[in-house]
Amino acid sequence: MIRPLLVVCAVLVIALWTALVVGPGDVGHAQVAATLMGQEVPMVAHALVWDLRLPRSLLAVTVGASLGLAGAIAQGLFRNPLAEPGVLGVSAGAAMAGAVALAAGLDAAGPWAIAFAACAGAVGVLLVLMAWARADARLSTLILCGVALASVCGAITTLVLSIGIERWEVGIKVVRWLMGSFDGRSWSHLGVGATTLLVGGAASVWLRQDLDALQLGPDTAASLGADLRKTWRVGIGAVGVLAGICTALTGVIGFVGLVVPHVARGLVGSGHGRLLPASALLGGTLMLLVDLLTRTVTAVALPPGVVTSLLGTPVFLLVLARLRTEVT
Amino acid sequence: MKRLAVALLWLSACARPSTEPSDTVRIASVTIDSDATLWALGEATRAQVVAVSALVDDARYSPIVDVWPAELPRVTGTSESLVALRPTVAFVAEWSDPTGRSLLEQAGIDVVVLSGYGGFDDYKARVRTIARAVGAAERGEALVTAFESDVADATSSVGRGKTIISYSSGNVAAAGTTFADEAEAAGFVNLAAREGLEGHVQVSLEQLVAWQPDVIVVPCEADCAATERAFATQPGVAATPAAKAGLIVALDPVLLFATGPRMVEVTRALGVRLAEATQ
Repeated sequence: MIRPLLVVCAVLVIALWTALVVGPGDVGHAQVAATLMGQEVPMVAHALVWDLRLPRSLLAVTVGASLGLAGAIAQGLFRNPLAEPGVLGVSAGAAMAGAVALAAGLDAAGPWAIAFAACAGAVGVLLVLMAWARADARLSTLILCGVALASVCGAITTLVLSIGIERWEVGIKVVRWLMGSFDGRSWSHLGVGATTLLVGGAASVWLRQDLDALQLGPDTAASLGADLRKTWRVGIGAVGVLAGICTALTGVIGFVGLVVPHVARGLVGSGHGRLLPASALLGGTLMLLVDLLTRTVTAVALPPGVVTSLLGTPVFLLVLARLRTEVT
Repeated sequence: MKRLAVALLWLSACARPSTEPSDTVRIASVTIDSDATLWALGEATRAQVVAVSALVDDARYSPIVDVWPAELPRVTGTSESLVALRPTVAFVAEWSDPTGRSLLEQAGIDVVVLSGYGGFDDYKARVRTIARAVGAAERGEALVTAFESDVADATSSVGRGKTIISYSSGNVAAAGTTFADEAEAAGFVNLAAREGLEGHVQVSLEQLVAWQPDVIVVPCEADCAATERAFATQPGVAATPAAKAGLIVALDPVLLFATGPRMVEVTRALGVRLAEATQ
């Protein structure tokens, strides 16, 4: 059970080192090591490694870990293996709120303004879903509700973009943000991402036992002493903050929250005490590998969300097919 | 279905009775580029214009704000609004909706599609196309000659082989762009073009820093000096020769993205900034 996670840790370390060495400019292993140890290196090498590659790579790990964690919490909360911020429309809600905030010029108020708006959008969608799930918690209903919410949010985002045709600079700003990227992200972005992950991590520690109890059904969980209302509130808040701030930092990145908890479950089992940290570890590793791929395969920068969607869609269909088989 | 649409478009055009003789040239311009060129072609051509583009008075995009009479209709390029003005010739951009263009053609309008926004030669070709289409070929040739003279005046070796990059919203202007011609005319080496890139290409900030450009050109929205300072604080940018020499140059986007005669002003502005920095 532990060995696969050690392998993932090793992959993460190797990928992180590769991310620091690979890229434009002539920066070798020795210069990377010297930069990390604070030794004298040429200014360009220092800029490439310390100012650009290191914060970018660590942010990719942080965002991937946050999305993996958000997916695992959402799946536990909704007792549904397809509950994921992207599928449930949470990412679309965050994107919609972020796009509206950008169009309104709130980005001038500072980097936290868009993050706050995106969080509000994510939490708003989750609250609607939560109300719906209480009345009818069936898988198909939940997914359809998520599709409907994502559709509404997508329509509002399109409306913002259509206004952007008349205001070109707004349109390009929103499109660039929606496409998402780790490019040009600094230590201050990493600070926001790391703080978010810490908050989400603390919430997951608090939630782990109640989420385990919830898998037995709400009534049984309540009889075991779980405070369901508080669990819902903390869980919804954690997923909203994790997905919302990640979307604000790097744009919409789908399917990480869906794929990663499934793989983690296969490695460490269904107990949330291990599932949640394993999802974070796997999510961070996957996102770093995706970022490494998108910035080295072509000279043109690819949005990471494109790659995660290409990888995640087949997994989503696979899980859906497996669930159908189990039901029949 | 198409015939029905054409019929409906004509019906909307017939809603107002025509008072002009049928052989009158009526020009509709749906691009800022053609708005500017038609204005430059002189009084006779201006009198034939029945509509200009909706963005012609928007200072963020247009080089000829408030020159066309306010009562002249502004159009956005929809088939209905265009046909209603009963133009005989309409200037549209290559990226306009092909179905709408086809409907206009079927309604008997001479649709001139303006294409090629890649540099000095493209501008000259577009001026000639517009001038020919409105029967002002001679005046068009005079505009081209004046532009060539302007370019010759602005051309210098002030850049002396220094490397330069135009960076906007993560995109660099490589070969085949207006910036490539503007920079070359000032003697600079456009790094993106030298690296084999073409058109406007998205590249990472990391790539930009690794290229180590001597000059970085960025668009500014309001306060150009503040934009220059802000760009210099982007991760890694401080390590570029451009930042060290104070040669991060923010230019008004109307100028930087100009596709008409104002392209020459970019060449001049680059020369002036380099001269200031080296003094």
